[in-house]
Amino acid sequence: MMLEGTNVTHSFGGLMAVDGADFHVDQGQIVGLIGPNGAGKTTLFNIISGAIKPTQGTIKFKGEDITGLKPHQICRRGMARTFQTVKLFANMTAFENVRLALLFGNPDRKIDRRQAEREVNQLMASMGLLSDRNKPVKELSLATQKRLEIARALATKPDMLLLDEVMSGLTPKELSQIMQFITQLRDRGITIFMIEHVMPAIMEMCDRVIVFHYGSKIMEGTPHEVVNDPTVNAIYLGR
Amino acid sequence: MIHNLLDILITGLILGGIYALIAVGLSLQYGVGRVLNIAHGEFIMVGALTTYSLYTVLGVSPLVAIAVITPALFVIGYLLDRTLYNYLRKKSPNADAFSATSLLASFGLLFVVQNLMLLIWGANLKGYTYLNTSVSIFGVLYGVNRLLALGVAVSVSTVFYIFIRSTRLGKAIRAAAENPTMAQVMTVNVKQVLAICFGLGAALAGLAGILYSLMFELQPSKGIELTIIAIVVVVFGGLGSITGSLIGGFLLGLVTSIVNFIDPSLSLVAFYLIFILLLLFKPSGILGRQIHAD
Amino acid sequence: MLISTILYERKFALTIIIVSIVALAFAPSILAEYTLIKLITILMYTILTLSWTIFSGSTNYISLATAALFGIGVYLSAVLNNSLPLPVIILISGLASFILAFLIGTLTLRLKGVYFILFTLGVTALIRNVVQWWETHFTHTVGRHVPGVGNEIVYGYILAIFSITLLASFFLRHSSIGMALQGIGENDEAAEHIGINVTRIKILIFACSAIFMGATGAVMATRWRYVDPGIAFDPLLSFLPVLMAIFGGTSRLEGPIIGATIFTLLREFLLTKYPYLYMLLMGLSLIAIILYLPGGLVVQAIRWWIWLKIQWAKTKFQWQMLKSRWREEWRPKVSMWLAQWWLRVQWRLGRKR
Repeated sequence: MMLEGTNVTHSFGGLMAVDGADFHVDQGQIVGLIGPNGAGKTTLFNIISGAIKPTQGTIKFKGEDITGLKPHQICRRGMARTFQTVKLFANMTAFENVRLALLFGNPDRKIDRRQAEREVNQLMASMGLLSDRNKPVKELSLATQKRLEIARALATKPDMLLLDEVMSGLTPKELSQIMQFITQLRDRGITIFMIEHVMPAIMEMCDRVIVFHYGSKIMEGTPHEVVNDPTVNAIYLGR
Repeated sequence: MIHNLLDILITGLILGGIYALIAVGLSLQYGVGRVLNIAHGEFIMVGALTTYSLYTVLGVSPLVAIAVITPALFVIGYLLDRTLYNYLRKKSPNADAFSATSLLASFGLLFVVQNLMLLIWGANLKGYTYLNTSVSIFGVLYGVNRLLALGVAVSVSTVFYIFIRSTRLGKAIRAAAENPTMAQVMTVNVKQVLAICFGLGAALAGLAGILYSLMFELQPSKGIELTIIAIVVVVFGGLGSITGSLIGGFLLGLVTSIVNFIDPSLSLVAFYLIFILLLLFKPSGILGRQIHAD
Repeated sequence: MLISTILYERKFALTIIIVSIVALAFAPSILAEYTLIKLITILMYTILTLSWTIFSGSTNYISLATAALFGIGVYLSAVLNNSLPLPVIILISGLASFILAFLIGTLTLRLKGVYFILFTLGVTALIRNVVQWWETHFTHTVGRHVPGVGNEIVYGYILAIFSITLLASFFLRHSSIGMALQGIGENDEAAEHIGINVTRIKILIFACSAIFMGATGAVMATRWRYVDPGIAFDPLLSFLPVLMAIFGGTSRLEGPIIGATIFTLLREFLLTKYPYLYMLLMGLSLIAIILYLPGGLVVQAIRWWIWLKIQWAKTKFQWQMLKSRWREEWRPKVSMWLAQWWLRVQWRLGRKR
């Protein structure tokens, strides 16, 4: 198991954002995390990535207990993420964004300038971002920014990628491009854990789906199983 | 022994009342409007020195001065927010940028107001005596002016506490202080509410200044000390909590009274020790929530 | 190709910096004593503004502790001046400021920026209080005299500190730590998630920037000759670097330098002409700058320059348009009209004969 969470709880002044969640993500899979708004999905991601400390419970990554570690430590151990609202360095260029991640996110830190630049260019080229690389981020379109955020996360050479609603706000063409890209990432060996609302994407890409409601897991299974489950249908899909 | 304890207690409550007022004022301005008004102490001193002048030049009693100065400072605060801080709010791309620019603007304001005070009143210590007759309580002598200050501070604090806990507007202000972004979503006229809160903060500063002038000597440079006290009280009570500032004010007033008994020149050090302890162990303060990004 | 452009620009900037420093080194032999003293003051404020900008310029953590960090150097110099040679005092002062800044940073930089700002606001008053209390109760000296070393030597030290501060700022900006700091300023949550140890970098850079402030303080004590807690820990010294940095702009290296120079000269002028209004005018300037010059003078000047160039290009374009219209439309018509008029004139003249 790449990622394992046991009894993860986070209460915020009496409000239980995440309530005794047990979940796991196996290596080499694409696992989806779905649930109604406010179900605690992004809070769970925040706990996993180290941005928030859980009030109870443990998180294990690659067998190691990472509960309570800070985000930069978790990043160095091989987990990267994107954010629901894109958090890029807006006044820096696309290139600088990715290069910063490359310089600081890698466990093997002896990278010299020239090699770093080559690697950044390679990475950006593989994602079709090379032509935009010297533009300040605030001038880029939303879809490009989302791709850039993924590129920046990839620059830290992660074994696992947490994607928070990457597909929202994309055109159908952009959607299929990104879906293809994510599947390629999985094929290259990166485990993907993604929060999504875009159901067709979940159906097509995910090996497993976890359903979250009121801060805990209410069901998990293959996309097919989840979509046909009566409880999930009642709560989430509104049938 | 009892005399000393009682003295410390009553002085503590008097100081506490003043601290509560200045802290609540600052809390209103920062909590709701997210303005770090480090010129707060200057407004307190303006209130204090104006009372001094009204009394010594025109013979106006400080109690009457309350009715003049408090509304005047409310208006000044209201206008300041509507013009300066609102303009900065509009121009700032995010909350962090606004806290930086509003802080700098307040910094500039600090120097402007202090210089104006120096021009009008000069740099020397000033004081006046009002109701200097003493009253005996449990065998200890107290100046009527001190008891008056205590009375006003406690009653205003109580009224304010009731207001902020029970009335609709009070609850709305508390909610806005805890979560300004939500408040903006739910309020019809955001600019108005923000400006009113800022004005209220300034009015409370003026009131605190009047009470301060009853008991202490005045000097334009004392403003910064008072701002620092207000800051420590607000952090102690919790950055988003108005009730916290009220309670914290009284508690820290008592602490100051105790420290003054030991060595008066160490009171600022004591405040900073408390500040340091807070930062180390509970930055959110006694009533504050967990620190989260806005 | 782009990389070589950046390197070229950088080499150019570095050359300018080195040339300026060398030029300044000749100042004592060229300038009158009075001008040299002014230059010392300008350089002092430039160092403070540059060091302030190193940390507070890129992040939203506005430090109001400059007076404390500088004052420690001033006071240590006054205390130690009989026991140790000046260079050693300067180093010790730098170290002391580093430690103080490190402590402040450790306490507050793990938390939101508000705490840092509020804490640094009172730190100067706190330290002044503590020093005053200590001097009154223990050492019984309030007010110390520092022997002078001559303006040329003071200038020499100040120039050295200035050069180091300037070069440090320059190399930091382009180093990976400098860029990490910029990223932290843009979005510290994202920075943390790409492997940057945000708290550690903040504390380190804040503490290092303080070294220059303390060292400068130690030197200036020998210039001022009389030091007491009020003089050493003057709150105005927390305010002025902020004003100068905001005025000049913090996004480019020239900003703080230009801001400090202009405002030091302005301040000297105001102090002589309007000594009672000077705080007021400084305060109003800060407010005006925040309202109307948000990126600082340098950025605004660049924007105006670009605007001017655009206007010039537009004017040139319109002039070209006018010229071609003249050539194609108007000149033929005018020539024809002139020719006709000339013919008519000839004919009338002919008829008169």
